[in-house]
Amino acid sequence: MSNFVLKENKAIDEKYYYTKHKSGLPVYVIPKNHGTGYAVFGTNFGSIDNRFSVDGREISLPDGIAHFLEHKLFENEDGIDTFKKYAEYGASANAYTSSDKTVYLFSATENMSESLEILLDFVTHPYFTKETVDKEQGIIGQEIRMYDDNPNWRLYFNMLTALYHSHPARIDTAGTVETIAQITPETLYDAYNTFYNLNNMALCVCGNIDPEEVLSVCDKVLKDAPEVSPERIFPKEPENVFQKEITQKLSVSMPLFSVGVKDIHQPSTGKELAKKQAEYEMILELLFGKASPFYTRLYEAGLINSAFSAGYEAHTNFGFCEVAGYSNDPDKVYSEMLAEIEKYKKSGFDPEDFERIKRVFYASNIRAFNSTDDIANDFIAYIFRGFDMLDYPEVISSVTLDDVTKRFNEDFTEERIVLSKILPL
Amino acid sequence: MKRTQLCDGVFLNYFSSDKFKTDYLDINIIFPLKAQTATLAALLPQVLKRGSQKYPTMADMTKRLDYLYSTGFATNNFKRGEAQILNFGVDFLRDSLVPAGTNLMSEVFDTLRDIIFFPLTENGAFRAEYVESEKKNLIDAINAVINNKNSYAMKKCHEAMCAGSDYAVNAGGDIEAAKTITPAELYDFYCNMLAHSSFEIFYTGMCDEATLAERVKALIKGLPRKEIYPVSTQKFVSERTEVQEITEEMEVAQGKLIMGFSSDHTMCDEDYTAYALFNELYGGSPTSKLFENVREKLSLCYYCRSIPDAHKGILTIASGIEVENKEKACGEILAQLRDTADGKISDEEFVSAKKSLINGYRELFDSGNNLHIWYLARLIAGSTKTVEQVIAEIENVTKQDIARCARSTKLDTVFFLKGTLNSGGEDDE
Repeated sequence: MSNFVLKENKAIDEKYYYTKHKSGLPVYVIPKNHGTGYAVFGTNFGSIDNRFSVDGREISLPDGIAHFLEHKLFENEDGIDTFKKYAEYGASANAYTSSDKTVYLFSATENMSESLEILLDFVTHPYFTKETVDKEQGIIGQEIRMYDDNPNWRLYFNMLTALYHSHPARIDTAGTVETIAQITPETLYDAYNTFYNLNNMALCVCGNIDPEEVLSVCDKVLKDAPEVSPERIFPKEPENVFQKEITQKLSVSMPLFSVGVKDIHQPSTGKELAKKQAEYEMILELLFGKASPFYTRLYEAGLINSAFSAGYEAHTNFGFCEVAGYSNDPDKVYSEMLAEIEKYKKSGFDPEDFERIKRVFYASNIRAFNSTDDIANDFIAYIFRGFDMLDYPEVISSVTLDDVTKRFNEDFTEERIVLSKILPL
Repeated sequence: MKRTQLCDGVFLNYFSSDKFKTDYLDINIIFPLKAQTATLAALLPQVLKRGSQKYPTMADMTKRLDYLYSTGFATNNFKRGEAQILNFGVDFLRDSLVPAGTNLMSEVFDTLRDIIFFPLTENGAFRAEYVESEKKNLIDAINAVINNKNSYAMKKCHEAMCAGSDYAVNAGGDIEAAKTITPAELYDFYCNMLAHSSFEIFYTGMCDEATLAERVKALIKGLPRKEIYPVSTQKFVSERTEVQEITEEMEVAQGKLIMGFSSDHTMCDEDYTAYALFNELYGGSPTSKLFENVREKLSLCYYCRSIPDAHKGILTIASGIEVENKEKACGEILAQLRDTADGKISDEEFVSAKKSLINGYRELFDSGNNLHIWYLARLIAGSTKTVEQVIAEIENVTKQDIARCARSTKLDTVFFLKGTLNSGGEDDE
């Protein structure tokens, strides 16, 4: 096989092939005998990357530009919409933008090579005009208004605006109707030429496809890309939170709450980042998981219901925990949470619970390999954080009770915690 | 798929697959959707999840599932036509991924048996404390429908279309009915439901069929079997001479437009596949007429899609728009339907719709859950067609068939959730 490197994790029976294509694009092929092939092609450019310098020029872009660009790439100079091109080969296509990446994808049960060619072609051939940009303002404007009425979305972004003083994680992915009005073909090309550079992108293909076939499509479509090294500019973010509490009223049946915990660490390697993620997630499970005394006590008191959940989001230069749910008394839930944190600081975690949770993490991680869709999407997310998904089981097993206790004692302090609420009108 | 009858009204549907890290087992309990029992049925799984004889608290149950290598356990309650279904699903790691000597499947089945068939009871009723607490949660959940404006508007549209019929009954339950339920009444319902319902059990995984059948028999051992109440689905017939127009105001930013049509096609009909293809072409995909025209050409919305109810014979169009664009959007949606009815279907649209639908069906085999749901829907409609058969049927559908489906699609009700917040992106932070 040409330049592919094989990486295997025998314990979980998974492997992938990797090569850096001559164009500069990192290519990963994850073999699976599923009938559904799934490909993701993305860049580590998301809603937080709105200020940077490149070639000595400093550029600030309107909020929501990464998402707008995602929409606009689907239009082509030949006038044929990308969805139609895929449809000819029976593939189902989509794309998404998050805080730190933009990903274009398709799934298909036949003609993988043809659809892969479409994917690589349209993402590497931008075509923006004033007319098509104007047209998109209406569509994305309605997408924004849909989210304005979505209480869970508002709850989540309000929490982030409380957590961060100036870090762009507080900006809504799609921007606002006002900020997207500032987007022009020129700003789109600025963003595109800086961040859609093959060296900073990745292609992951998962399914029943020969890696050589993937490479030959790359050969056909991709042109060599001279490296562009943009320097992202982030404002200095204080360690404390911006505001302790934030409330919005919407037409909802009962109050919603989201408690955010700011993670101030910025690990320098992907492996450290993954370990930190595992530690945070284990802490949340120990504190607020469905088997925890906290969950039982508040559920039985009618203060929370089964929609209660706790999770951690890991990114290269920011991270946070979110504990969210519905309650008629969100303030009480919040004070109980703070009390629970203090309680565990004194008592420490039960080693038996910790072992149970490690078993859960082992199994949940394996389950992530059930579908080509999950594998490809998780895979590219890890790549952009500088980490290899096949190393995650090892990271989980390396976490000790001491690691978790130390992180908990240092990081779960009141000045890093906020409460966001949505209340009925 | 292999389908076998295990006992009166109980069927096992078996799929062999080595693609997944986990095995999937779904137990579907199926009974008629009735106003008298729907709320009891909605409450039941919530109470069963609170505690069983062996695992009397939620924490005990969670720890047990955690111990079983994080076995996933979920319950679901929904309707298909005039049938209500309670679903209990588990997925668990396959044997090669757990230490040798662990008989995970057997332990998972034992635990599932305990949760479903050996609930925590006191004096011939469910534990009162659990029932009272879950009644409150159920009422909150029913009220919470309003949090998702699109689902809320769709629900209101369907209720208005089918008012007074069994189909208008909310499988999620009714608040007034929930308030009066007693632990004894719920327990009676539970016993009756077990005795009189049909069971469709699905499995996808690596276990061989004979062994699995034995395990499932052990899982349901002792299941009481009495007269099985049949479920049937009734096609929606619009008796309106004029379109019913309903507008409800709410303090939201975006208007939600819901258009309910009688489709005159259900999965019980031999030619339903043509209707599924019509839906794909009209509003079911990003190359459909609605996406192409209402969104891409007119920029009226972010989403505009058609959703068929294949058991009831209703087609619903849902879109989120500016309030002042309601007439324009309605007009375009109907114009596209007329064009389709007139046979204005390009070769490109026709081929794309076929490929898209076929691809969707082929992808079913890569998700244990979706495959189970697909077959369950057909079994309830009395159809025994396989995915492969339906794919072959799609190939044979003609443009004339699609035009005919469009002609049979008649507008019955328009429900508009009219947002009253000022437009122009006012931010209330």
